[in-house]
Amino acid sequence: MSKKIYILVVEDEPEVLDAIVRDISDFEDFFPIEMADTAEEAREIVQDILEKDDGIGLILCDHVLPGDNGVELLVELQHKEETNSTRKVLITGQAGLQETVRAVNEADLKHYIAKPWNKDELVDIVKELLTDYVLDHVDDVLPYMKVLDGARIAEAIRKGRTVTDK
Amino acid sequence: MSKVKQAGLLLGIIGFILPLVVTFPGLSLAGHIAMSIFLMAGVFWMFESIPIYSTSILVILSQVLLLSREGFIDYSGLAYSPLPYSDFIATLASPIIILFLGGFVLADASVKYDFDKNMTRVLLRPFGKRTIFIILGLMLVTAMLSAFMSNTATTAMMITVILPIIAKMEPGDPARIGVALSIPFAANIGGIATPIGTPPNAVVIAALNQQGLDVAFSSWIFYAAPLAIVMLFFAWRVLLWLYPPATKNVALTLDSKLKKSPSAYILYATFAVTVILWVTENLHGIKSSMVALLPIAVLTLTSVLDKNDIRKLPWEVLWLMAGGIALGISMEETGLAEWMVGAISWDKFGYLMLLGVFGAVALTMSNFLSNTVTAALLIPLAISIATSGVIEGPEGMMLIGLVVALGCSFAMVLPISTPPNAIAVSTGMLETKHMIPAGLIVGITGLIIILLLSVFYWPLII
Amino acid sequence: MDFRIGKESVQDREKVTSLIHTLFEKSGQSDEFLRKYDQGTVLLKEGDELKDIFILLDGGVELYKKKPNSDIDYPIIKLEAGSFVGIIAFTSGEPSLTTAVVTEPSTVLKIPDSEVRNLFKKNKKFRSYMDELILANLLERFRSTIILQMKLDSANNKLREERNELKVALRDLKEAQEHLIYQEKMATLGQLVAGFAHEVNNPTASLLRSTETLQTRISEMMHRIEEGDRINALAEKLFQAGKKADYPDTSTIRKKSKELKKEFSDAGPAQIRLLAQIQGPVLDEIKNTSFSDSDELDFYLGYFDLGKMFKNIESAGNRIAGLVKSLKSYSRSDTDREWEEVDIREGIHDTLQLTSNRIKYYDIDIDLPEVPLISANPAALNQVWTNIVLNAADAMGKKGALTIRCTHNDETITVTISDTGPGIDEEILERIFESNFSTKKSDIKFGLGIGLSISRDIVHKHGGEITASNAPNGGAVFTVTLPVR
Repeated sequence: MSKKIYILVVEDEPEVLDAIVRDISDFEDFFPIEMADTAEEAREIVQDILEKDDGIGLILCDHVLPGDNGVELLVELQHKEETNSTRKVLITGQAGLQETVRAVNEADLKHYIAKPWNKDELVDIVKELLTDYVLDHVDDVLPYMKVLDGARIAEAIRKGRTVTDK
Repeated sequence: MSKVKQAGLLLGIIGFILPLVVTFPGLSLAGHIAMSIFLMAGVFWMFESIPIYSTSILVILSQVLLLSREGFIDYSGLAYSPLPYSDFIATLASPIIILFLGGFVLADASVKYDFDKNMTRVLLRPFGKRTIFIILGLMLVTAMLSAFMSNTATTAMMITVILPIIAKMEPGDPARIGVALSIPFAANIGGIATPIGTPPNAVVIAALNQQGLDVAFSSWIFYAAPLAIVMLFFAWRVLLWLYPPATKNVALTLDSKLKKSPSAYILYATFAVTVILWVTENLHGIKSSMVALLPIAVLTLTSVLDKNDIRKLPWEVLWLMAGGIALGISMEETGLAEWMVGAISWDKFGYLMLLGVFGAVALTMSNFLSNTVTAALLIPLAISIATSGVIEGPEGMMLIGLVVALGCSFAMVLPISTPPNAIAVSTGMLETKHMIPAGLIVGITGLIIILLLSVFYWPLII
Repeated sequence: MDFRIGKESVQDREKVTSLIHTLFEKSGQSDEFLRKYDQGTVLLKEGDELKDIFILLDGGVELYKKKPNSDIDYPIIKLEAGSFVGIIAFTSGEPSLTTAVVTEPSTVLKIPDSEVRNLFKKNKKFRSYMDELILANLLERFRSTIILQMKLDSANNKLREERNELKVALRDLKEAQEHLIYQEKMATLGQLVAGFAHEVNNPTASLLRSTETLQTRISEMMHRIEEGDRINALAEKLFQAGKKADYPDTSTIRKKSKELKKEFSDAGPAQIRLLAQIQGPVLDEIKNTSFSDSDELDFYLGYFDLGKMFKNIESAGNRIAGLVKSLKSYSRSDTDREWEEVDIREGIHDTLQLTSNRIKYYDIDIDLPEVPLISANPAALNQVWTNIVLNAADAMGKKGALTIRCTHNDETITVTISDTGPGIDEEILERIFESNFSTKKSDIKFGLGIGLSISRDIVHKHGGEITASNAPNGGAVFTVTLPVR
């Protein structure tokens, strides 16, 4: 299981970016975190990760960014085969109804978190979505039981029979 | 590949080549080849340089190429009369393998229809709310299920049951560790109770069958179940002593509904009939491997299990066992086992001492290696000792077989000892340092009880 | 009833009355009963007992009835020759339902009630003529009642229709008016508030998150200190460094992180990230210090984090305060008077603060030299600036430049706001200030057309003028002139 699964955070305000990353730092032992402050930079980071044959499990994205905005970035990632299954979340203070609808319909947005966010809510969503991704993509899910949703992982082992007697 | 595994790969290859270039006095040509295979398999299994089931296939491949009648080596005129290659291949579907396949089919169907969860819910009810009794209940149910299902699957399911219980306990409560440990321990202990409880049993039974000794399903239960029950209670008390619960009561909620579809009812019926037939083998005489075909046939023809479910059966475990069985065959037939055993003068050892040594070696090795592999490596040697006369006749063989098989299952000291242990540690509820003392106490006590049984109980009923 | 004359007479009252007349004349009784009345004579009063019956031989009588709860007599029906006045009262025996008044000189047969019976006894013909007359009259009355009723219904229906139409029209009108008012208010306010909310949410988020972390960190540190450790110079330096640290952008952090990972091979990703934010001499000092384990490094980095938190809180708090101040100043919500002496430059700055969310990625070029104070409604003027700026942002999309200049002479102040958008079509330059004007073509967007029309109204109220034109090198230019007074 050498394929790394990344979490990508895209946010142009440094203090807010700092705060988000600090809140999800518990996941960092298993899911390396990358940060970007523009959509363009995010694209570069995605490219780098995919070139190493690693995967992106989750992207937490603000909407108002210099240049291309967050929803555009998410739609783009949805259409790219390798990031199609990446779980996409908007953390934003302002995205109008139209843009949010677009994100839901065209980018398979999994969750919308309004700023200011509640730490427990953020952690719960990250845990849930990363568990989804890991169950879809990883064969040996046992090591993730501690940091992700233990009950679901155990159930997946029970039903998926990926771990067997030796 | 990690450095360790690379080293293993190299060592395994060296091990294979060694007997081909070095001559061991007193060992036939076939024996040398068998040793090559034995060393290569042992090292590969130990280091897991290649998947363990893959090593098993490699064993069979080597045997077919080098030790069979149709193989590359001509044994005409030599002591070893080569077996037809089909004998080696046949291990993949030997009766004990079929028996296990029947068990897997029942177990997978139970998981698919949540039968395991429902049984757990019902069986746990009488245990009330007090923490210490809930732990006992959990252990008893886990043991009962793992006697028929894979220990690992049982552990995975029970983990989902205990996670909410543990979540409600205070962070510093030792019972968290106690509850989390109780599951893998109970799973391992429960697995010894029936032939299908855990793969090491299969390897041992197959080796005994090879010597003409048949072990009925119900007979095994008579031998092993008392040990399981005693050790279960013992483990329960040990865990309570090491990790006394701080909360007196605990609420157990299991949400699962009994499935009532026609397929579910077919499963319940098939399960009941099969188990009853197995357990009463001594009464009606139908071999358990034959009975095992019943659930396989019924559940597939009624589409209770479909094509995809069949694909998901743990075929690699069957291969692993087959390889172990095949290795045993080649070690016996070529005289390698006899030669290895002959290196030590066993008659100096007392009868009990001998059993103790094998038991201790089995216990220790399987703490670091896969239980099945340990059994596969040890049982040919154990049987050789029995046939060499140091231990009397078929009863002696049975005894030493039991000691090896049961000893392998009591390895619960480390997370790597057995997959249920690994699952328990992965939950994050306990660390290795919590597992070691408990595992040591239970393992060593188990060994002692096994030896006691071999003196006082088993000779009476074998 | 006795019908001698037959069917035709039922229709023809005149014939019957003339027959009766002839009858009386022949019997010589006509003088007794014949009367001649002048216009205005009241023959019967409503509610009176009937004492006489009146047969109108020629002339006209009108019947009146009082409306309930009033004393006014309403005309019910006009009777012509051949009519039997008081017929209902006569046949039913009830008091008269109506008041009968003569409308023109008329000849009337007035026969006392009692006499009628006598006459009936004496003269059978008279009786039958009376029967015919009564029936003819009743028929006539009935017919005219029906006709009246139908006319009434049709009139009612028409009225109802018209009333409904009026209702609908009124409702539509009200809606349109409300809509208009609402749109105008919301257009400007909406854009402002959305932008404000976003801007405020960022520092708010930063504040709240930092505060929580701060609390945790401080208690951890208190623990450490209680155990007898002393904060040494390095920790202090890290704390101060944190308070001054600028957050480098993410690509810099990534690059630095890569380098630092080589030197600090044991450090976790969170620690590397912090180290990447520490500058120069302090970072060197950390490199030269050997830490016993990862926890110890954590302890010292925690002081850096602490300093950063303080800085975050301060700057976020200031930003919030600034935004709120601008909003208050913009809407002049804390003064009662609308018109006051203002420096319009303040309003322009407030507007730029509050629309910063929309314009933050543009190049902003402002040159506003001192201008005299003018008497103005600052909140209203701010709406004008906002409108123009937001239109410019709509026109420019993601990238562009906004230039604001003001000049003045003794009499007027001139403010120009220009953008680098596609400009305004020459043909519609004139019309953009009209109400309801809006172009929503894909390349020219004017937001809500009504904004500019209200803007013009506001400027006019100030005695000024607003015009739009295109700059020589592209882009729209809005010019607002305001008189100095």
